[in-house]
Amino acid sequence: MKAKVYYEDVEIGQDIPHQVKEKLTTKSLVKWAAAVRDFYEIHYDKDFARAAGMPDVIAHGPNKLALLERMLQEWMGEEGRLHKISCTHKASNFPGETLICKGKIVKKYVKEGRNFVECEVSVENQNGLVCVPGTAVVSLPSKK
Amino acid sequence: MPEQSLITDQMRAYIGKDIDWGPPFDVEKGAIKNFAEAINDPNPLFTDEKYARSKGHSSVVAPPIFPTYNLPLGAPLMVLKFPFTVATGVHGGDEWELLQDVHAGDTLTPKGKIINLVEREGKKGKMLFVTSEVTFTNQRGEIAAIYRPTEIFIAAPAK
Repeated sequence: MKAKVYYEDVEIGQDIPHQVKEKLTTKSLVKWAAAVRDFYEIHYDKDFARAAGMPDVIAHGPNKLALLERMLQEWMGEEGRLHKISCTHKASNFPGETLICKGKIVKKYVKEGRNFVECEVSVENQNGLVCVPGTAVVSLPSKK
Repeated sequence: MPEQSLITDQMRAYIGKDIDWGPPFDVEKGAIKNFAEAINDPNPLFTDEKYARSKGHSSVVAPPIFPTYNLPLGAPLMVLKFPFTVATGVHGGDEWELLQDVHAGDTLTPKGKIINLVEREGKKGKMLFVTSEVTFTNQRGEIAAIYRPTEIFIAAPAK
């Protein structure tokens, strides 16, 4: 089967040619809370969030990370594999915002027979504010 | 009076000690579907059993950070006695090493410890960063994933 992306296709400095865009809603936050059973009230109880100094309920950090993973997997296809991903949650995101997940190739190397690619990834909001910077290590199939 | 540190000896003594991250849990098909739906992920590996099997999987695949299912991120709060009042707690960062595919039908056992405590001064005042490390081992004894979450606790101003 032909893979979606091969190791030979990616170049250092290149933007990942795929993005994921998702609008946050109170409903999307509640769906995540239920999916992972994280019922910290700051994510669905506005009064609680306000008492904690937030203007509104906030999206779960791991929800944003999961969207980054979706972006990487959709870009790579099934032949690609995610090995490591890390991120810092720098800014909170609220219902009404649109999250945009993107990435860039920063390094590629062959190790123990695997073709590794390191990427800088980020979740930005609709105004271009980087809310979640991170890095990921994936491996891709080779044409050879 | 000199300013008190947010980190006490009682807290420091917990670095490296195993704490409770919840009981083993079964990875269920419905839970995987709910997870995929929550991030609008249409990947058929997560929802279509027949398709996943045709690709050599034992059942539907769980999305990479699925092990976070039901994980008590507040676990360190159960053992650390803070010498301050928490104004807000926020999730500060995530780090995952993904070592094995997780499938419906697997059983994962979380085990972990606090690995680092750091104090910083931020815009909202003094902050405590608590980083933990949780490993998820499957029923075959393989480590499926290692998760290092960081929680930030902002101290209420001292009265």
